Formats: sequence, structure tokens, C-alpha cells
Amino acid sequence: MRLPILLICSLFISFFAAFIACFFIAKITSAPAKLKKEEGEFDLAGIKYDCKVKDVKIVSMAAMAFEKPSVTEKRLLKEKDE
Amino acid sequence: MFACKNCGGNIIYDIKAHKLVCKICKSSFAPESVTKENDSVDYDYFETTIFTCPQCGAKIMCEDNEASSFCTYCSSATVLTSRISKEKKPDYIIPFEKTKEECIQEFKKITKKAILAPSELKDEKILDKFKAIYVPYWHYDVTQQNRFSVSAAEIYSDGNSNYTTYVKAEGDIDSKFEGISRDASYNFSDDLCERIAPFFTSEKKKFYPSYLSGFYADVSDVPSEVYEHEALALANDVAREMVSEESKKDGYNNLKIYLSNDEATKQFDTKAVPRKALYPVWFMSFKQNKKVAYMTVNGQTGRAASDFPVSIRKFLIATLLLTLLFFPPSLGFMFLFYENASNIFLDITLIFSIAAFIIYYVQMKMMQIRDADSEDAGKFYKKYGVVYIKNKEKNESVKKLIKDYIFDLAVGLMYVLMVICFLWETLSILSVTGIMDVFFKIILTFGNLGLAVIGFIRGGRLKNSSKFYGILGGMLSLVFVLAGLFIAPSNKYLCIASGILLCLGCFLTIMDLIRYHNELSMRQPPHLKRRGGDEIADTVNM
Repeated sequence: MRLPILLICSLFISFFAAFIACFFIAKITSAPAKLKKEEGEFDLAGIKYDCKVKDVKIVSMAAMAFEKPSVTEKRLLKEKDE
Repeated sequence: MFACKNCGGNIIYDIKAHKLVCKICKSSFAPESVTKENDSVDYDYFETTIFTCPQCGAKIMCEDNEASSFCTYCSSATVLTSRISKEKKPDYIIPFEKTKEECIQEFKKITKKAILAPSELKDEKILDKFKAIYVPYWHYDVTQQNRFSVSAAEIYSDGNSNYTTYVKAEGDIDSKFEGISRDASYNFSDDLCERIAPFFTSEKKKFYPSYLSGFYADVSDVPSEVYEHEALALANDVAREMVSEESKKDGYNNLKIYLSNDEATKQFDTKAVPRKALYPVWFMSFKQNKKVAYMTVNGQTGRAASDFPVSIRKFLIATLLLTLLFFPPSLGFMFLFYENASNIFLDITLIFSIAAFIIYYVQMKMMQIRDADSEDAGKFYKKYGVVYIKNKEKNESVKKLIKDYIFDLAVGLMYVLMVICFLWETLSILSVTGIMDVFFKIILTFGNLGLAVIGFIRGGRLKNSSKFYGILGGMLSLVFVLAGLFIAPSNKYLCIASGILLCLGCFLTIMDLIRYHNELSMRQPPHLKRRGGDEIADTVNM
């Protein structure tokens, strides 16, 4: 009697795993291709442009603030120096 | 129809030759040298035939009578009514560079990946339905010329501290942008247009109606102001970056310009001049259950984009195949628990059901973003009559929140529960726990039910998704499991029945997601909703 139970249980476990896996396959293969544009980046492909900025002068200093860099920032700065 | 000057035959634009070629005598003509009698009189308007589909009300311009037997938008084989109309001439046109064969090849590249997409989309006969359509675009020319004064901050670090210096930067700007393009048709979603972009506007030509010979052209119906702020914003973003770059000469290596788009428009005196243009797109609609999915290929560069629905038949076949693949290891695993198979079965299905409900919740949230109509500025304007200004930061932060927190939280929770479950299971197998095993299952089932209810409530809130009730099957199966655990927790047959029900309930839940994905990939023929197509179709049918 135990063998049929084992077979049934195995079959349904396989089925459960299979449809979850299939869902991911469907999502990955049917999802629209991601745009190459990165976050915050502007896309100028196909646009003809000429942007000239000149005579930039820093005219006033309004305020100054400081904060301690994080551990990661410190590490990055150290790596950069090295 | 444009007639050949030599034999009177129909002349159509040949993509490879870049000329109009006579079908009969093979004479070729430059597009600008071919005009209709009335076109030479009126410089701003041109005469064309507008075809209207009696099924969906779509309107399309075409010089060829071939258009009268098939609607490109709703894929209906029907007799389209036609009328001669005077349409305002666009300023520019980018002629087709890619032939139908090249377009099909490009499209095949992206269908290769979509293994669960309907087989029809890979059928040569279906692919032959790709039609060359000129899509109306707004082509913005933007200028910036002014002396500006902007607030900025320089951020730097000496290793121990970060310093922020707030400054005012002044300078001169003189810039020109040609061809910032946005689609001027409600038929094409911004998303689809973005995915086949860019169009290289340096290749644009002055519009002559003869360019349309042999092609379809959609009618422009989105006003220029809908996307004007996007054109200004792009120019302002570039200008900000240039100011920052220029300030490096003065030793400011990390200058950030604090300026809203409106302020930047004022400071840089940013002005946009919209011009009408027609861009080439190879287009095909795939109809299934009164809905259509669009397949598009950029007619200039060959870049393809499409919404692929999932074929339910293929999904089920793939599931069965994977079931066969997973069966031997599952059987081997179950043999390890030969004595206690029914209990282990219920535990494993409970773990899988956690995964299923978490997937449901997370995916519903992801699809909610995609489903948001407001992401398409054209559609938003049509619906509410006001220009929609996309809040990039807000959208990004929502996506980040979902991506970084909810997903991590859900996966983390799943792992924790799995670890706890396995610990309890191990203790249970070692006979350390007895009643606690059942208690744990009850807790797990309650937790699962909570996840399912949250998922259902969230899912119900989403537009279009409230009609999917598969998750109710999942919830009912959990209630059954719970009842079984209270009534006879050690009954092995009840455990097996609970596990099977849980499995089927979760299958229905996951099927909801597949159907919702298809709902988003397929849409109603555009004109029915967006352009008063029902009324147009009714008028035509009267």
C-alpha cells in the first residue's frame, strides 16, 4: 500500500515544482527585453544635438556642510588612493 | 494611386532602390518628382484614401486598394470602407530601409527566446502578415540660448569627512537639439515605441505624399503638447550635465546642479518647436480571443519589440514534461521518508505553497506597475484631457521599493520558514516532537492563508486583475488543510488529500498570473476604447 502512496506523493511534488518552474520560464522568455538605458541616464540616440556651455563662473559660496563618510566610502577612497 | 508617367501603371516606393518603381514597365522615379494633380495645388494638405474598419473603427491611410480587405489593427478579414480625404502634410518622413524579409529575420531573433509564445508567431504564413506602416511622430526641435544663473553644490571628500559647498554658477548656453521624437498615435504604446527606438532623424526627408505609395500610414491623433515637456526635460538634463562638465575647468569636479525642469526651462530659455513626422514601422497584430498582441520592427534600424503572450497549451505541455523530469528525484526523496511519507508530502506542499503565494504577491505588484495606464502619456491625455508629467523619481522609487524590500522580505521570509520547517521536520523524524509537528503545520497553514488573503486583496485592487479568482482555489485548499489538521492530524489519507488539494489550489493561483500576463500582453483593438471606435464602427455599419 505504501508504494502507491509514494508514487502519488512524488507525482504531485514533481507537478508542484514543475508548474512553479514553468511559470518562471514563461516570465523570463516572454518578458519584454530590457531597455539598455540605465537609471538616470538620458537617451540621445538618434538625436542630432550641439550643446555649448561657456564662461561658467562660480559666483558665490552660500554654505558649507560636512558629514562623516561611511565605511564603504572610506574603503573606496582608500582603494582609489592606492 | 500614383500613376506611372510612361505607362499609367501603379508606381510604388521600392525600399531597396529608394525610388518609386512602376510595377508594369519598371520605370523608376524620385519621390519628390511624383505628385498627384491636386497635391501640387495645395501645399499644406494632400489627398489620400482613409480606410475605416467596420469591426474596430480603426482609421488608416493607404493609397493601395489592398487595404480594403484586411484590418491591420484588429486582424479582421473584412471589407473596409474608404473615403477620399484631405490630410495635413507632415513635415518630414523617414523612408523605410528594412524590407519585409529583413524585418521577419529580425523578428525571428526575438521569437527564438520566447519558447512558450504561441506557435503561430513563428509560422511563416503569419509572419507574412507584417505590414509596413508609417507611424506619426512628433519631432521636436529644441533650442536653448540664454545667460543662466543656477544653484549648485560641490561635494568632495578628504577621506575623513564629506564636504558640500553650495554655490551659484553663471554662464552662457547656446544649444540645439534636432529630432527629439515621441509617437503621435494612440495605437502605439509609449513602451512599444521606446523599445523599437531610436530612429535616426538625420536620415529624414521632406515629406512628399508619393513616399506613402505602397504603404499604410496611421492618422496622427495625439496633440504636440502631450510630449513637449519631455522634449524640454531631455534638453534641460543635457544642459545641466554640460554646466557640470564645464565647471571642471574651474576645479569643481563634482558639481551638481539643483534645478527643477520648469526652472531649467526658464534659466536656459528652452524652447521646443514641434513638427509632424512619419517614421517607418513594420507592424503585425496577432488576434486571440477578441484581443490583439502587437509585433513591431523598426523600419529604419530593424530593432524588434513585441508583447509575447504565453500559450496556455505550451505551458501545460512544458509543465507535464518537467513533471516527468522531476519525478525520479522526487520519488528518490520520498523513499528517504518511507515510513512517514504522507506527513512529509503535506510539509513539502506547504513549503511550495508559501513559494507560490509569495510569487503571486510579488508578481501582482510587478504587473501593477506595467498595468498602470498613467505610464503612457498619450493614453493619459486621451483619458483625462491633461498632460501627464511622468514622475521618474517616484516610479523609480516604487520599483526600487518593490525590488529591494518586498522581494527580499518575501524571499527572506520563505527561507526562514523553510529552515524552521526542516528543523521541525528533522525533530519530528527523530521523534523528538510529536504534537508540535501538527502545531507547526497549523501555524504554517495560517501564515500561508494570510499570504493568500493579502495577495487576493492586493490583486483585487489592481486594474484588470480583479476578475482572476484562481487564488480563491488556493485559499479554499488551505482552509481544507487547516480543517484536516484540526480534525485528524495524523490521518495519512487526509494528509495526502490535503497535499493534493494544496497543489491544485496553487496551480490555479499561478495560472491567474499567466492569464494576467496574457491580459497585459494582449489588448483590445485600440480604437474601440481610445478613439471612440465603437461609435465609428457603428456609423460605418449603419
